[in-house]
Amino acid sequence: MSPTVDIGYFALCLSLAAAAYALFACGLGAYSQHDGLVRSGENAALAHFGLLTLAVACLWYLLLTGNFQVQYVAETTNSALPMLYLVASLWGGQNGSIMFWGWLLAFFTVLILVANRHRYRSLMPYTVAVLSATSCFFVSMSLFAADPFKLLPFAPVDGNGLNPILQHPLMAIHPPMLYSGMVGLSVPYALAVAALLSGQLDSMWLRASRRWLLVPWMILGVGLLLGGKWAYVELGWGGYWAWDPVENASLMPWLAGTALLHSMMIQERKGMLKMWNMILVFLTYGMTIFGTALTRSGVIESVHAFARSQVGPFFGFYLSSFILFSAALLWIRRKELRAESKLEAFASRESAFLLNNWILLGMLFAVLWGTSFPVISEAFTGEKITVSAPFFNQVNVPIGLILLLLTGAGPLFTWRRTSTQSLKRNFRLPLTAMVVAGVALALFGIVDFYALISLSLCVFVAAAIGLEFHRGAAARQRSTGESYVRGIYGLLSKSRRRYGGYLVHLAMIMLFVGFTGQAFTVDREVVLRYGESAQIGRYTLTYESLAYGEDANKTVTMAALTLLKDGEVATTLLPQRHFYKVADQGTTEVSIYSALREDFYVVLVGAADDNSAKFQIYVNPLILWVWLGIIAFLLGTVWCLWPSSRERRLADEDRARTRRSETAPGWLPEIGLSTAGPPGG
Amino acid sequence: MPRLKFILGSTVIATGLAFLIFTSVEESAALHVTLPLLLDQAENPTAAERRIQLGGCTVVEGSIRWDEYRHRPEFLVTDGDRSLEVRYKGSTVLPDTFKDKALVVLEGQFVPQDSRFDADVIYAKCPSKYEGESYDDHVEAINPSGTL
Repeated sequence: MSPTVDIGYFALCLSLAAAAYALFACGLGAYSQHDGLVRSGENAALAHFGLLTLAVACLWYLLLTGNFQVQYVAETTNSALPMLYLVASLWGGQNGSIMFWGWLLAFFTVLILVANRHRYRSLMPYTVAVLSATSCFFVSMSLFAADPFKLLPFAPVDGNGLNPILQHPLMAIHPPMLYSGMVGLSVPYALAVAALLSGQLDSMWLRASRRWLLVPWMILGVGLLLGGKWAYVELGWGGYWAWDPVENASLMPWLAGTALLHSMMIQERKGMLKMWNMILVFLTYGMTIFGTALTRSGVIESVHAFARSQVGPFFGFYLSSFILFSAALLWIRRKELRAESKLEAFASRESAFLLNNWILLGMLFAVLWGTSFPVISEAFTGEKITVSAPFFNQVNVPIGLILLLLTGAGPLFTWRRTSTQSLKRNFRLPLTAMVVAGVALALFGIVDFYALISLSLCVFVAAAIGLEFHRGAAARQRSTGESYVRGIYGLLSKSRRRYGGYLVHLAMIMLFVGFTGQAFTVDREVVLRYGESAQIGRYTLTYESLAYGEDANKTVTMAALTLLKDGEVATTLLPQRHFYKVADQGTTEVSIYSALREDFYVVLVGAADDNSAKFQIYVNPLILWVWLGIIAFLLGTVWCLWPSSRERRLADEDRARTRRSETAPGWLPEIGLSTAGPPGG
Repeated sequence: MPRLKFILGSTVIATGLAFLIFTSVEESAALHVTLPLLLDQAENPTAAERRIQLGGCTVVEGSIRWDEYRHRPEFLVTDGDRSLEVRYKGSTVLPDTFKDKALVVLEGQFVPQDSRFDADVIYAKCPSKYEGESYDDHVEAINPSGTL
């Protein structure tokens, strides 16, 4: 037996002790305002990270060296697995992923400690305490219910291996992205609790958490869509989103986080919605825990093959104590969370934001309801009823369309109150564009009700955003005399939050265009002999031949088909079926001809002995816009995140001030990382 | 008075949402039962009328009979004790994890007169060699108790 197992396990145990000490020292130190104790607790949080890193390194070593006596290694890898997937198997199985989750949490704790070594000092001790409490939970779960270092009573010759369908580069990055997104959302939660505990209930905690919310939110969003991309290219059912419980579990915190991102702006500006924002940040964090608990405890069936294990009760305990603790905190501070000003008019930017919040939460509730419907229905009627994709689509399409409308309409309202006159002026162009587009699309032959509305709304939102940019640029042109194009760049770089936000909205339009394409998906099943053709819309598909191949790992059956688009040769499609010998399992390798207008997606179902083969064909309109939307979403969010020159200056001044007053601990390394400054734009 | 408008607005949203959820549940609702329960209640007319999600069973080793294009198989599922014949009638290709001894969850219609299950959706999970997850754990996990 390898000493690495003992070292790893021991480091894991010690890291629990360190986290417990950090919780205790930071909590008590903050309460009694004892700087030395706080500093010692922060050191313990660093030690916790170091020890957990050691434990993770040990597990990685065991995975890479193929020590199959370790149960986790035997379950998730085998000796034939390529390097990339050996590395990725750290988070590929249940026990490893829980320890990895804990490690990410420790990493985020260290990040915020370093970033805020001179700032938000009054919030930091409690923040570290809350994060350490969460760490304690994850590490004890790792130790007591999901031990990654558990040994088998015998040493197998080889491991189980990774399921061939998961051997895809996207699957190496999709889970850690989701995990970092979910874990990162603990930081805003910790800052909120710190604000409640310390009684500093102005918008400081919001300023401190903006980037810590935006980054995980971005990672989670991209992670979700990359999972969809994987499903699309790997699973062979022609779609990318199945409303599976595990997908929903990561969508729910993202929706709550989206609501929070919007409503926190109102608090920063107007001092309103303080209680609401607290509830939203708790909801966002709670959803990450709830979703994980729901899908890992085996309560809900999922196509994601997570093993059922002993983690269920852990999550149940943590979730209930989290709810009790949060509710008690909010109750105690309820009087201090009153709004500083009131909503003045219904027709205002504030109420548009509020409406956006309600709609987002409505969507969240619908997803939550559908996902937990088996549990709810069993509790109330004794019958366990499940709902699947048609339910989610039917509910979420109308809600999504209202949300899309608000995306465009919100910015057309002014803060406080909007006069009827300015409403008319602001809405005239976008509404005209929408109607013209709608009529044009209808004439063009798009008669599906939802699709027509969705695409018209996309035009409306795009026109509204265009109008905002145009007005801003024109105003700059008038006041500074700079050119129109420079003016647009000026807007984007001076008011990153506002105009970066519009970039994200543009990405949302691209995504909605892609989602709308689903309404026109064509699904055909054809049987062809060599040389035969099938006509599908504007495409002609000709089956040329079938080939067989074999290597050490697998056998391959591959069909060659020529695809004609409007009579011209577009491409040769090579759909395949692989059969992995060790895993005793086949995989479907689809072949896709992708264009802006639509994807032509072919699955080789199987070949018969008489030179005929069956193909499943999907024509998926506009799907490429979903993938382009991911890139736009990423770029837009990064643009929002990038500190503006004003923010950088303020951060420098802040640092200089704190350094002079010497209240900050001096042990942390100096790096040029700045967190949120005062709101810009 | 903005307050009144807000109360009105939120009521409209809540009602709309409740209506949407209520009317959509029917769309894809399936009654989740385990194989033993379904076989025990085979005479119960509900079993044939409602859309069923059948959980807690594994594919009997060697029972999969594919059609000539390896598309729609017929196979047996078992709870370790009794078994039931299944026909796949869906159109999407089956998940790659569908094979002998896989844990499956089926959705579709029970046909009591032929003692057969016509599935249009099949989810499959591979059994794990080293994990201590026995078949009984699985059954218990997805349906501790219940009746039709």
